[in-house]
Amino acid sequence: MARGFAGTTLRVDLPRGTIRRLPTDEALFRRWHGGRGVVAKICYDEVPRGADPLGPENVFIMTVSPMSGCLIPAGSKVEFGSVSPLTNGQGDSNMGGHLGPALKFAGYDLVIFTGISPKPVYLFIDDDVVELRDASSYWGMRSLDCEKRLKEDLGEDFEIATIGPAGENGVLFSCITHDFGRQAGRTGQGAVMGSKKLKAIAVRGSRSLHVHDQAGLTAYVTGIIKRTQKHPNMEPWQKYGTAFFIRWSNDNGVMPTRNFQTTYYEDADKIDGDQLIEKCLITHKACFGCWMNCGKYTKAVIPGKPEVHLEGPEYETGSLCGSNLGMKDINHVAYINWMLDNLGMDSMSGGGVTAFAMECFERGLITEKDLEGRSLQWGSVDDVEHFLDMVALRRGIGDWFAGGTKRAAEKIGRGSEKFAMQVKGQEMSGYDGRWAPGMLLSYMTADIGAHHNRSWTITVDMAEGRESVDGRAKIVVYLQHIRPLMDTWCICRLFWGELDITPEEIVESLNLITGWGVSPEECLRTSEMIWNLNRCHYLERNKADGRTFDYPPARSWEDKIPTGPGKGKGVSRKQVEQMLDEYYAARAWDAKGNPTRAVLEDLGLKDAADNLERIGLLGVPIPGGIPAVRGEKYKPKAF
Amino acid sequence: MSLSEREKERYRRQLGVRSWDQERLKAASVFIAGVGGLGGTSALYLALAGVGRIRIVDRDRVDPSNLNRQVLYGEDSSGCLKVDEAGRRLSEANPHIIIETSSEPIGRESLDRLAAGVSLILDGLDNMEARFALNEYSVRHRVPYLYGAVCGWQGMVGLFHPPVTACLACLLSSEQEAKPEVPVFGCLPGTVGLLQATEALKYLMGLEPALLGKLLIYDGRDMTFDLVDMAKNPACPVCSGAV
Amino acid sequence: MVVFFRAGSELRHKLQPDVDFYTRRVETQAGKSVKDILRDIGLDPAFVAFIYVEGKVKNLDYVPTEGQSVTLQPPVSGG
Repeated sequence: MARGFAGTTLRVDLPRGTIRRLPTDEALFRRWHGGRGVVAKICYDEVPRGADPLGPENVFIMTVSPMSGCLIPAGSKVEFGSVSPLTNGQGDSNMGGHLGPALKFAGYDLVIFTGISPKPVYLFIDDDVVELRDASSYWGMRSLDCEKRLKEDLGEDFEIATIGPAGENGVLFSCITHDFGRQAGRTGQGAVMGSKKLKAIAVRGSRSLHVHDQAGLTAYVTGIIKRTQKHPNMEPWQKYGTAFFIRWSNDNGVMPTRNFQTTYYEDADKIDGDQLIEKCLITHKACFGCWMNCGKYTKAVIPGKPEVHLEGPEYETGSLCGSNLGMKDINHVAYINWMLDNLGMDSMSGGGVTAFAMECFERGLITEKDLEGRSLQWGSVDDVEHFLDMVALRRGIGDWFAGGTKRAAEKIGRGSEKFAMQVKGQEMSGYDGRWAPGMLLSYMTADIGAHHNRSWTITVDMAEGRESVDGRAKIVVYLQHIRPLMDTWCICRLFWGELDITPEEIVESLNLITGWGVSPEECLRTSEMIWNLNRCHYLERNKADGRTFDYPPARSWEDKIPTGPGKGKGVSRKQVEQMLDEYYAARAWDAKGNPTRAVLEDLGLKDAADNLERIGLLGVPIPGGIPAVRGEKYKPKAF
Repeated sequence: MSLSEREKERYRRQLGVRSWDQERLKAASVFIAGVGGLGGTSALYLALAGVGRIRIVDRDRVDPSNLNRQVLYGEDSSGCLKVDEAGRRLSEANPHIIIETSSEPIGRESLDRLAAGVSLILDGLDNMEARFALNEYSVRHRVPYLYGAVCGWQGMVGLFHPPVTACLACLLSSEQEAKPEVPVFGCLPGTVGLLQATEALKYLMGLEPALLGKLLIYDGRDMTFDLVDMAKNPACPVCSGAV
Repeated sequence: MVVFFRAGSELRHKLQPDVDFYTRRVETQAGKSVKDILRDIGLDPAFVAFIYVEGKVKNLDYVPTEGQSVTLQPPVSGG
């Protein structure tokens, strides 16, 4: 087996309570690279197409890569995946902290959970000892409290991941929390854990890992460390983390404000990075193998409420739970962040769902009667606290919102779907797409719904023009192929995005670890395989042409931005259709957004093509054939 | 690895065996340590099945006392290097595969060269010292080691795959006194070699092996098979430290 | 305390089965290891490579419990 791997894969049979140890399938990782790639392949192969994501036939996967735990920059990530109950397609989410490396040090590359446990359990790993332990005394506990208790019970040196009451109750955007403030937030992985009665994962590992060329790797990585420490972005990143972007986003008119009604927030200076550092910061916090310490461990101090500690808010939470909810005090934003972390809900979807509910309340579509006598006003932290409690426990109308904005809008009706800011069931990230068409296209075409991380295109929009869409789609495809490099090898993308680590450097480190001889081109190809496999999986589960699912919420193209630097700007329906046409052409999919046999077979996915053909959703062949390379290489311009 | 028409005809009857993957076998490579009673049997059947590359290593020459059980040799093989004779017979049995041979002694230093690049090691040895060398190689490189051994009416097979499973040193002490010449008749190494070949084919085709971390203990006198689990020894001198 | 020893055919003649073709019934004290019990019945432990009990391989330091059946496996090193 190649170096870097720990060597063992665990299959946890939750109904029987048994655990099988198997040799890690090196060929699987060699082809799909690890992390997100392995998740995509296993979900496709093992979950029946009609399976309920919260039912016994879904799998829940925790995995890393052969690089994890070795001496590489920012190699902290652990990847979780399953079929998402929120989007009904392949879902995955990764998080930093220390759990991924701990899993490797304990001796494991991949853990696959199947079925549903008859009783609440947690997975206990201490090197060779792997057990399912009774979690009935932890069930019901809030996430941060549960992690604290598990560390007291097992030992401080255990790395812990937990779900909160939201995950236990099947709130579809539930998250997994670790290290007192890192989350695997998107796609409802916490709900899948909860459906399996899996409360937590506790890992301690004490072994070392062997690499192919230790001297070479040490020298190579030392060079990267020295270079990045002098990078001009290091200082602002170390100081603010991503909260740095609050001011930038607002000045550039992409700030989600009061449920994306507009894109400029008049009170941004009350919730920006400076406010965070000045009012809330306790200490900076870093993940395994990272010296950028973008994490901010903070306190929220609100008179009349207990002081609470949390990690954040970073940009997404700071905007989606800040300007998006009309909050005027950084302490209030931090408190909402803490509530979501502790209840175990994704702070991005949590902000989006709350904002949607606030607009429904503003419009009289829901009333105090529905909210147990409370209001839900913009800017009211107390109203938000009460609402989130209703949602986490699925109490009353909270049950409607527990399914995300898409399902809530279906229940509420009366035109509310227009401003349910989601695609494919997942809430939008913290950038408005009306004056950033590449970002909008990213939301439309991401396999997991309106999430920015699949292709963060905002800076491309700035550089290439915010009102034109020509050629934007090809760049989105390219960026969608770059990101999986980080997600499959389980390293933090901020090092690539902000400190200019190149794909070549990532791949060179990988080869020094494994001895494999992978090229950046191979990585891009694996990325394309993942995109196509997930698309096929999505179509098979949702049984309609792909284009059906790729449209943004109506607000994103019907309403022009009313205020601020982006006033009057907006993307037209014609531009949306044009971007989709260009995107499908760039991907060698047909005009209905369905992958063609030619591109699938070129990627070695003949079985997926056969499966699509069987259900009548295989893409119509493209006249003249498909381009040899999909996703034109893009060199970022300054902006 | 695609198959020619000739190959498809040769393998026609096994292509219909459930879960069979002939292309995957053609792309596979195995190392067989020793081509005597055990190794000669497993090599022959793996060759017939179409494993693409079979590397056989044995330092011995054919002796008349081998002929009661070592199926690759006849009266006219006496005195020849076993790997030369075996290599010839295996290539005749299946000309579509690659046979590699070496008569170098198997030891700790030579294994790094001899076993490089294979996906599976099969045991066809007749002494414990060489087996422990194979085991150390298996632990160091995390290549699975399909162990087999016979004596009289008994034999056993097991698949060691560190770090997932125990290694041979978790099971047996290297200090155990070995018999200089073990009594053996053809059916035993024949049976055990075939059991090894069956398990090897499953492993090489990506099917889940049944003997991962287990021993199948065969008693030809009683006609019994016992299947037992082996636990890792947390203090094993060979495998407990490394990952 | 009673334990039962089974032996594969290569060791059977040394075990002297008295229950059936394979098995010998042994009276011993609780807490004794297989190694010690073998010495007590005159079977040199050097003839046993390992044992297995209830489907699990153990070494000769294993302490059997009341009524357990312990299978003795002699060294097998040929090929």
